Amino acid sequence: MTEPIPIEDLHALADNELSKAERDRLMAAMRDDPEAQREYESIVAMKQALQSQRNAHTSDELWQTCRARLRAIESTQRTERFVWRNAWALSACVFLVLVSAAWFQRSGPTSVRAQEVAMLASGMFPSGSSHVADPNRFGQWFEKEVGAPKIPTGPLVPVAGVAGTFHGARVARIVLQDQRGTVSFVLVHNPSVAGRTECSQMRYFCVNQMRNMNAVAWLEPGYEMMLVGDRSQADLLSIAEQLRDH
Amino acid sequence: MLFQRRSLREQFEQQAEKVFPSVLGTALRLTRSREEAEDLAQEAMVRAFEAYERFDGANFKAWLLRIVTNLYINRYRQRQRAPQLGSLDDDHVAEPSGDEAETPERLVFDELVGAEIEEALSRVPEDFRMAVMLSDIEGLTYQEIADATGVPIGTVRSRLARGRAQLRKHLADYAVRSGYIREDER
Repeated sequence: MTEPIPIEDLHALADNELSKAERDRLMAAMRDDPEAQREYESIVAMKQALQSQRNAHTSDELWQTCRARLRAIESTQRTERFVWRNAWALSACVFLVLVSAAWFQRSGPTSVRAQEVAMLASGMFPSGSSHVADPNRFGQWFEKEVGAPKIPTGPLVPVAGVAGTFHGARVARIVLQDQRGTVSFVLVHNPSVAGRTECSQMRYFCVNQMRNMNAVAWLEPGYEMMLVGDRSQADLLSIAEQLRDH
Repeated sequence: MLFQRRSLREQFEQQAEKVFPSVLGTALRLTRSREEAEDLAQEAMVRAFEAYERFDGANFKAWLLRIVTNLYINRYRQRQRAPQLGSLDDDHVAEPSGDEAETPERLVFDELVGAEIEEALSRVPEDFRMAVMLSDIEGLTYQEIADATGVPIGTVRSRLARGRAQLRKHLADYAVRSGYIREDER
């Protein structure tokens, strides 16, 4: 008695999934098994019926929609790839622009320096300012902005100046320098402006603190003057006396 | 590189257009919903395009249908509250009866129109239906079906045998109802 042919082998035969040896063996076995033959024919018939359903469903409209989506994706991918590949160059360009802008800002005649930005923010800096950084033009600038023919610098050297308005009063600030560093010499027109320093502590000078720095103020005809710097009060008083002498 | 990428899309479209009916048909037979099938087909095309650079070039249709079935398994099937997997009771194989009709079944199947085949196929449990569809309609090999559905080849063989048996039973019901064969010829 021969063993019945496994049903899965018949399916594999119909699906052409057997090796030649297996196929030959199975075909030989089927010759003596009419039931297996009918089953095999049934499988093949059903496969053919199902194959007729291939490509039964199609939609040109849907395919065109898919194509549009693919094109959109491709476009996005191209942009992303471009940015990704050239990110270093784009970053370098931005950095270059920033550095260039900073350089021009710093070297320009009307540029605002870092310490001036801090002073602007803290309210110590006059607005609508004119600047001077050229030592050769300093006297001319001082006469024009302050109205005095000579800068009372004493033993210090003026290195920069800025003039403008502060709370409605005309203000000039001159940076004076010596071997120990810089101090700010501030001249305010119209000493009757509200909030001006009251100088009642000493004969000429009023000593106080401003922005954590020592400050010395005194009055001259038509001006209130002030020295501000990271120096001791004695140093500032000494400089102020020398300025007064000039 | 830009032109190379554009050429890649055109190359993909050229291949995909030929097998798009298979993609849509498979999606329809899996979801049994026109709307969901169109979504699934579109999503599969997009996924395939995005992964096209990694395609090994062997069998584009099998690769694309694998994406469709994987996408369906991972996404659409999870939405179904009641899994449509056939129970063990449903899995029994209709063995050929001893008194099978002499009339070749091929004649019966030849009479059947597509709608009835699709209807009968839709009544087969999902895993079996997937195997039958991929094998008999789309012509994938056992290995390709195994790759597409993530099961061993032995399981593919088993599912095919069971799926076809159930399909034959449903088609025979239709043939009897339609008068193609008599009840005693089943």
